[in-house]
Amino acid sequence: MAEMAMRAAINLALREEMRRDERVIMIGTDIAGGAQGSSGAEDVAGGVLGITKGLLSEFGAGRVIDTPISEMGYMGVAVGAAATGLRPVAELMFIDFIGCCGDMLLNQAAKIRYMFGGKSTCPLVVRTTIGAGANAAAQHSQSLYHWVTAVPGLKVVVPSNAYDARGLLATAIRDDDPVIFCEHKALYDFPAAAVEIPDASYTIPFGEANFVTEGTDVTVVALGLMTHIAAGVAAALSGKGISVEVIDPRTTSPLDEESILESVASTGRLVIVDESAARCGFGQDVAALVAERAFHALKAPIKVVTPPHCPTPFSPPLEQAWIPSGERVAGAILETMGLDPALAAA
Amino acid sequence: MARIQAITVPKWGLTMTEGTVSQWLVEEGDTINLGDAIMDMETSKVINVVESVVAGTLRRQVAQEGDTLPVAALLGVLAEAEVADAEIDAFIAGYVIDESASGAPAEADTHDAVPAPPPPASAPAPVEHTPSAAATASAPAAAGAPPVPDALKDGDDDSGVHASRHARKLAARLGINLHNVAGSGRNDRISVADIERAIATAGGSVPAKQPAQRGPEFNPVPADDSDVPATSVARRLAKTLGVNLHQCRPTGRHGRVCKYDVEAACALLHGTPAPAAAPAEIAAEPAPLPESVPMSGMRRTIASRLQASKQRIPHYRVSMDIRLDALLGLRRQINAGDPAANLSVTDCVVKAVAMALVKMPEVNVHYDEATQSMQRFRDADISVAVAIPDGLITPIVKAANTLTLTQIAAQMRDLATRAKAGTLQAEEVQGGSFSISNLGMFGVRQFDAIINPPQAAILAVAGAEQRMVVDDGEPQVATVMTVSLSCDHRVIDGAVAAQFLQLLKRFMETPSLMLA
Repeated sequence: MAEMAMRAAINLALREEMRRDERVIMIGTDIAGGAQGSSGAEDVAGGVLGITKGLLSEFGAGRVIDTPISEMGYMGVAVGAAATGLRPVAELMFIDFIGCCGDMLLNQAAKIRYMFGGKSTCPLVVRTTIGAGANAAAQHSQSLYHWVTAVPGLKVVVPSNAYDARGLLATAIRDDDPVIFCEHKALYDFPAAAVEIPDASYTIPFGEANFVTEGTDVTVVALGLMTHIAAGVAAALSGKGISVEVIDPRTTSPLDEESILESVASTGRLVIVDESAARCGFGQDVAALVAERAFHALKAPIKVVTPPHCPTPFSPPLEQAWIPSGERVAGAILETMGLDPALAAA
Repeated sequence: MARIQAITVPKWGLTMTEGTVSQWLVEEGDTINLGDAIMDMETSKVINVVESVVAGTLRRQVAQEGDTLPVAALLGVLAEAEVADAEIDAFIAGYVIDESASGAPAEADTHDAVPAPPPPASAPAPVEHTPSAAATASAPAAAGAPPVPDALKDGDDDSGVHASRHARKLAARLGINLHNVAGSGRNDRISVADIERAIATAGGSVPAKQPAQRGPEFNPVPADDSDVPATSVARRLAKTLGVNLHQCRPTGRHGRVCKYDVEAACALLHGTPAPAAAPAEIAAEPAPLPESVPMSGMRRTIASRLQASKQRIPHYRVSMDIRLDALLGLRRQINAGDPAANLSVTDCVVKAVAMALVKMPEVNVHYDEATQSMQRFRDADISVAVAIPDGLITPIVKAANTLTLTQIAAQMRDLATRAKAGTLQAEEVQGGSFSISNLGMFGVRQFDAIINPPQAAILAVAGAEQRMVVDDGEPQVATVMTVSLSCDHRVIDGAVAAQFLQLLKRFMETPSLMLA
């Protein structure tokens, strides 16, 4: 057991899977070099994100394929490789650019198993980053996992800590279907996301939520960075006698509907904290699920806490105001309890 | 841990001291849930349904049909399957009537200032007994403990079994070993629903969730009613009216408190009807809330019996007009000759019906649906419906075919008087091979009655009135009464019913035939 940051845990999982199965390859922009490699030397930085550091040295350029900024090109290569026997892990540096390789993922990767009648599969993993807070402006801050969740045939993972990231990435790589693995930029070095992880390799099944806290008054569903905000609020409110159950679904497709419904059946109140979108996002999907299947269990209207329906601001104070805050989450929880949301500030 | 539970004679009213088992509604080996109807029990006034206040498997019917037993006496024994017969025998042999449950009054305790124990609740507390032989480390099963079958509790350490978080919590609460539950979820994970299904399959019932316990340090409203299931409208209205949802009786779907319940509670609590929510310009008078009337035991019995009869029995009716001039003449003669006779029209109808039944025993039958059997009676035991303040009761004129008109009249007076006083004995209202309901005194022209099972027919007698009738083309005035026979078509066909009415008509229109 050792405490490990999420960045290191992802690197470890990639390394383990590449050692375990030689069909696993990596492909993506700058993954062998990186912006920080001013010397031009390979494998100094491990890509812009520093995730793939050391992989080139261990596995060689034949399995760690560095590409130009050409999402459509390398994603096409990755999908083709997956369909013909390899198990590629492609890195899409920011999910914001998914549009550039949209056809490869939405129309090819997601459809191969179905349109070839199950005779072919597409064991592709697309690692990508999501999330605001890095002062990266509107084109590098989106959390478009709700886009890919809406596409049947794609599996979607949104890990919130190092332990989950390692186990879920191993599952993703061993899965025969295309998986979009969404890493929140702010979590790579986030202290609360750095947790003890076992020495030996392990997997975490898709579609099974993690209960971050258990509680009896309000269910909070949150993903990625929002999990930590919700957990912080839960801890603060427990001091006021409010017992919050924070559920991290970990995968949005498949979604652990059962755990959410069972939890709401026991608490009768639901708050969803979601960075994806103010409209047609993941939060609204969960709200609809509960309204449809557990309406009679609800004691109060469902609250969905999201950013406002506008692009992520570049200005740091505005960006911080844009991201769902602990105060807003606490206010929503209090509102479902029939209490004055202003108490959250107290 | 084996548990044995007793079903006892309930105490339905302050004056009830004993009850007579009229019919078991469950068999030995049946699984009983809380509130299940397990027996028809007869008290001095009425036959009522005994509802179980315990749950489990009925292992022994201790009381037999026809037994008259004191309140709190043992009726039957519930126990799990693995409890040995010998243990049950020991339990029955060692059973002692709990005097506090029987409500034995603590009278003449003048030397003691301690007040008498509070009056017993109308439903007896569940009595739980553990046979002394097996009285070791009894599970901390409170009264009404979750009836989870023991079969689900055994097994090795289940911490490795794949279950959802709430399923594991539920299993821990109920003492269920997850090895005994099949998972239907993703990756064969066990859900809460899977556990509930397993309990139901094993013959148990899922216990209700305990309301959340909230610490005193946090209390959002003086009495938090947010855990009470309620419709949104009801919740809003309750907030507006200052009604606590705990004080509302839920009548909505899913056991939810609905708007009406809040209004009713508001009226009860504040003595004022809820303000009408109608727009001001309509300015409608707020409709007064209906008075909430509790269903008495007799009302409930009438309701359930007649509903079952109307739903289960293929009723049909045959009506006939009967001219009463001759009968009324005979009645006048008898009453004039013997004022003490005081013969009524009903008495004459009872006599005529009894004569007709003896001649046509096809109508004088009981039908048992469960066994598909029919009983035909030689004598006419006629149940006559008598209205009493609470409802109605049907005392029986037994073997009316063997009685004279004056004997019938005397019996009828006696039965009706005691019915109204509530002092009829059980055997005077139980049985009967045929029923008569007479609403003639209210001027009713015709009506249909609902059969009183296991009887197969009932005669509805309307009022005698002067009507124009045509005899051989000549109009004339006659006193005419319309009777309607309701029959169970499963055992009485239309032609038989019609012939019976023909026969009845003959006896009533030519009353001297009743003497023949």
